Amino acid sequence: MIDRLHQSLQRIASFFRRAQLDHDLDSEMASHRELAIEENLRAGMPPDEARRQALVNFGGLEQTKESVRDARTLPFLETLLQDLRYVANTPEQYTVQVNTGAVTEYDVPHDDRIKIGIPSYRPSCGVYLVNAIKVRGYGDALNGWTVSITRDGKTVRKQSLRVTQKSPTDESGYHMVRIGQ
Amino acid sequence: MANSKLDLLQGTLDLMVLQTLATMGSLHGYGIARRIEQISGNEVLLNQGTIYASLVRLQQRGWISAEWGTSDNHRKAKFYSITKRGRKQLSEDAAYWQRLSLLMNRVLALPQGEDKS
Repeated sequence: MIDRLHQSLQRIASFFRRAQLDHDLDSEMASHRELAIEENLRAGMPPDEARRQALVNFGGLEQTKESVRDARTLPFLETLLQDLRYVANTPEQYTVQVNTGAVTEYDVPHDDRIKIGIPSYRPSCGVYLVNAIKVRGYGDALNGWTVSITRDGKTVRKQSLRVTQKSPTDESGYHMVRIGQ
Repeated sequence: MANSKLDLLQGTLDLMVLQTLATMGSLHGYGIARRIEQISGNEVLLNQGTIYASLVRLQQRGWISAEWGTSDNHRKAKFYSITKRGRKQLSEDAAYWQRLSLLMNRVLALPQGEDKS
């Protein structure tokens, strides 16, 4: 009972010291790798092999950090914080795909006729939405297409497109198309 | 199957870490991981990184303490030590695992009946 209470208090305290603890963990993992490499070198391994073997024996760095964070703090608070970060639109977290409804499905960057902004998170309804797309040469054909929003490799939403407003063409030939949900 | 390494059961890594610190005294994460690998005779499937989540759990329960220091080869490292409460917990957990192990040995020693199918 006392141990559990101690653990809960520690977890709450850790939540407010995340940056410092993350920094400590990075230092500790770096020290671990260096100690392993030195031991491998002493065992007669060539430098490249000594480093490779140390990394293999350690296992996934990101997995380790993730499991330490899970053990250290309060996962639901971490998740909430992540969601709040998404409200501020962290671009590299997302992949967005457009499905034309026909056979073609492609990553947006592969088709320079379509440009999609960063999906925004709406906490009130818990969904990710794309509000506008820049297109060139597609016009109203966008109606009926779907946008897939993927976060960390997992599809979080598929959204049908309905053109609600189209701006005049800019100098590069793009329209800004506002889309309904 | 017989040649594959053993997956650690839930809770066993924490116990191994406590026992290692009780036996060896203060150690850094790498030292603990290496000691467990050596004791297991390479029988256990252990990514050394998994030690760190265990160390956090044990620290949070007040069973081990940690402080930064310098390793034998002059590297900065975090050293872990077992606490008084940790020793008490180790004694309870060890007794539990010994009882469980004896029970499993007895169950597995039961003779198998002949296959009548």
